[in-house]
Amino acid sequence: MKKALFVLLAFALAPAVWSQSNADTYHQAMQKHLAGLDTLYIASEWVARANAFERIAQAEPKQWLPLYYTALCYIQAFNFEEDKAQQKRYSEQAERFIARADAMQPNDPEITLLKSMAASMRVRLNPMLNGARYGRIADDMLDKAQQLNPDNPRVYVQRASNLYFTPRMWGGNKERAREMVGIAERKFSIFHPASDLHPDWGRNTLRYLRSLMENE
Amino acid sequence: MFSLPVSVRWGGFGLPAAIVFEMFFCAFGPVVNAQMTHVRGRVTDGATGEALPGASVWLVGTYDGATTDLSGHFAFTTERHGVGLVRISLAGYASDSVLIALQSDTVRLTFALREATARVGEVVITAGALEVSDRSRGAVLTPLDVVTVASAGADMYGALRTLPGAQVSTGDVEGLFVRGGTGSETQTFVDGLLMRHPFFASVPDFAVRGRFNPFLFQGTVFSTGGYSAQYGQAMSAVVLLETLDLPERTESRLSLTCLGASAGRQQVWERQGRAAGIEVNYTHLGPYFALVRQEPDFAQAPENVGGEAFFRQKTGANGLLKAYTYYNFGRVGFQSTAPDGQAQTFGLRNRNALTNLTWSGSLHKRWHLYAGASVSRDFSRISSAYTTVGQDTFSLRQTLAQGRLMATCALSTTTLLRWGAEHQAGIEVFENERYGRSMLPEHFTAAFAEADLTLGQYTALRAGVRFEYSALLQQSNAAPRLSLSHRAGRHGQVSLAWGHFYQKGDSLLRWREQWGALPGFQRAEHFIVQYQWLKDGRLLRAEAFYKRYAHLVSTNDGIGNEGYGHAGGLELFARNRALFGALDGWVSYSFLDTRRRFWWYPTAVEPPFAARHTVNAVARRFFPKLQTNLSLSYSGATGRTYWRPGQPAEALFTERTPAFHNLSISVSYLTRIGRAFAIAVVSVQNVPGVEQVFSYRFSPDGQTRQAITPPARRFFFAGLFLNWGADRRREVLENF
Repeated sequence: MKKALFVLLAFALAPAVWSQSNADTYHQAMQKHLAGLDTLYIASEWVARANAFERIAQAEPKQWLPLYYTALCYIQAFNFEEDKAQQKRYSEQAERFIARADAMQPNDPEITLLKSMAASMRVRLNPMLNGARYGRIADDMLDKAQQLNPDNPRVYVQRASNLYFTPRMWGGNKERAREMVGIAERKFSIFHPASDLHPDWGRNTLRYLRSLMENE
Repeated sequence: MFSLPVSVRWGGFGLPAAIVFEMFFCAFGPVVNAQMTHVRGRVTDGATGEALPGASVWLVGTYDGATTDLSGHFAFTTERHGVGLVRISLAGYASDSVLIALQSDTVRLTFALREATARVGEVVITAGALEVSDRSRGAVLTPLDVVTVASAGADMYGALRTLPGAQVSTGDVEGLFVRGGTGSETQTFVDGLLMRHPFFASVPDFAVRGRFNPFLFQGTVFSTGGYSAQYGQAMSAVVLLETLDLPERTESRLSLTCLGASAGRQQVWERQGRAAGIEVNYTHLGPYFALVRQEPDFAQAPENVGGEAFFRQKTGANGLLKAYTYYNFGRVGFQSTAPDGQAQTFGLRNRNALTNLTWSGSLHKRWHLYAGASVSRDFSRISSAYTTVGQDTFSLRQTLAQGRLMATCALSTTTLLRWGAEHQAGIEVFENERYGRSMLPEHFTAAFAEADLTLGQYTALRAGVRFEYSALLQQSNAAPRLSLSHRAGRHGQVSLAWGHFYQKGDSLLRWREQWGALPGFQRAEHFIVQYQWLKDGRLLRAEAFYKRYAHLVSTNDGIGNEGYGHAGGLELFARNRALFGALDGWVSYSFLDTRRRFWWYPTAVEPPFAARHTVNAVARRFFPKLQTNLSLSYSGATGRTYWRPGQPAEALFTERTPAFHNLSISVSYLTRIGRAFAIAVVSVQNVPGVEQVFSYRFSPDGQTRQAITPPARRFFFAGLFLNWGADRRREVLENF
């Protein structure tokens, strides 16, 4: 009887002990993989980060941030990849993880921004087939992300980059892009992420856009 | 290295043992120990042995893991102790897991991954079927292909004609002529319901277009033989159209073309899972005919006015109700000179109305139910005059009501059972001043059952049977169908199909009063062998078929079922689907050898709707900088036989028309006009202006002939398609 009770107790306590030690490890692991995220320039490095965040996600089924970063890494892998077939795979993976993150954290401004980015990826994969439909989803999601948090600088980085790289006849506008860069810079100066694990990327992209504009 | 007494290895997803184990690990995890275990190894492609970079390898329930490098190697360390489950995953491959002992030493692992497509249940029955879809990887065309094929002129059937098996030079009559069959041997089904009038009303010596707007459909399967027991009353082929589920967006559309205009609006209520839409269209070819001279002389250029509306409502978790209604009124009239020099006129007025209602959804995890009903009416009034015969008018009124029920049940992961029944109640009233009136009331009932079985990992079998009873013919039939697919190698698949296909005698039944009898069911038996190779959007397929016809309707000696025939052939299809910005296209070749005795033919002859060799080539390229899509297509066919009056029986249908060539070009430009997404399209069919002879008509003595050609050498098309999303682009940008 005593033995049985002990086993029962051990089972009851185990998860508590496990998750307590986890809070630290979770934090450390996330920080480790977030470090230098802005400085990766090779698709395979982004995939490796995506895999790392995916591992954290499967070990931490209650956290949405690992799913968010997995998706973000696939989006970046897409941006640094040239092979169309690989790009397609990354786009599908990104959408998968966005959907999972979205299910846990509905109407989150940062996840909504990823939705917009994922739709833009679809457009870039096949403008003929996806242009009309996903172009609009991308616009709508960007608007929604801004509505959910008008102070999120990444929304304006994304707007700036859309305006800058889209051909003029498709609604691109370099003047407006420049304005957006300005807004994003102002928003960044007053932006504070909810925690050191929450999204805080985008400054590098902004600097890159600024440098492109100044070299014109 | 220590290895477990039982090396447990799971391939694929979702095996119960692996899940249970994983749940256990997620809850407790391996015990932490200060000592490290090193896990290292290599991941390769099981079929080619090539290294697989970018794969994720990790200890389930922990953060410990790594990504494979360019040479497929990985290495990670873990502080866990005990027993661990190592899992590997890579997009496009089936994931794999292995149990290892973690005891502070080095564990070496090798994984040889299988492509995910080789998974159980992924063997798709493909014999005979050509799929048009965005979603299926085996699809040969996407819906966008359909509208951008230069020779198709945005007609779905025009695009299907570029696929192997279909005739390209039957420009004198509507319908898809497949593998030696007549146009009426191909039937169209929308969401499982038979469409009696998929084409605009027939006009002699002209091929009219399909009625349906290609953007209404999310998937099309064109099966040129050996199809499922779900479908009947088609001896040669079926075109299966699946309408869109819930549209994604509220939007408005406007199209302006050189033939007419259409405007539409669809509204989506996302929260309620509801959508509705309406579209109206008007076409009048008068202005176009004034610019491009046509032969014959059109007293009434083709004019059509119509509209369609749809409604969608989600019911429950995965049920969907679809309603669709269509109406069209059209008229056309022309004068021409018959081969004997006499004047003749032709006039047609047609009204067509259709309403479809379907519901499908799951009742339970394993049970999927479908119910559909449809009512359609078609009324044609034709008046023709020929100097010596005088005015002759007849009308044809066809009404059809149908209902269909189908249940699908997954008995296990490897067995799928499908069964159902359908009933059609219809009446056809045919009236003619000279021959009087004939009525054909019909009650037609069919039931079918079919099983999809996965036999082992690489083989799928579909076996079905279909029973039909026609109250009009007072006859029944039972049609067995079988098909088998087997994966051969990583990218290959071999398929076989066989089956019986019955069909009523179509328009000849209308003359029951005159013949004093009704012919029974006709039958075709199909044998198909296919090899298909599919890799990264490249598809190659070769298909050989043999078709045996029996009990074809014959009229030589009173009306009866004395006809017979055969068709055999070989078809090749190759396509390269480039993702974007590269050359994309397909080529197809069909060889057809067929002879049949039916209708009034005294002997088995090579029928006039079957060219021996048919070739199609379609190439497209999108130029991203110019935002322009260029599409070229070529269709060619050797000559068709034709009938000349006064020939002896043995010489009938031995003369041939010249070979047919059609080179078409289409340029589409994508842009924005104001807030609208716009596509401007210009296309020309028969660019070089080659004379295209479909057949000949003769004077009664057979001495004078007239070539049946398109009404103009070239066909020009220009159109602008605009699309607006509602509530879109609130132009937040303007606010700054």
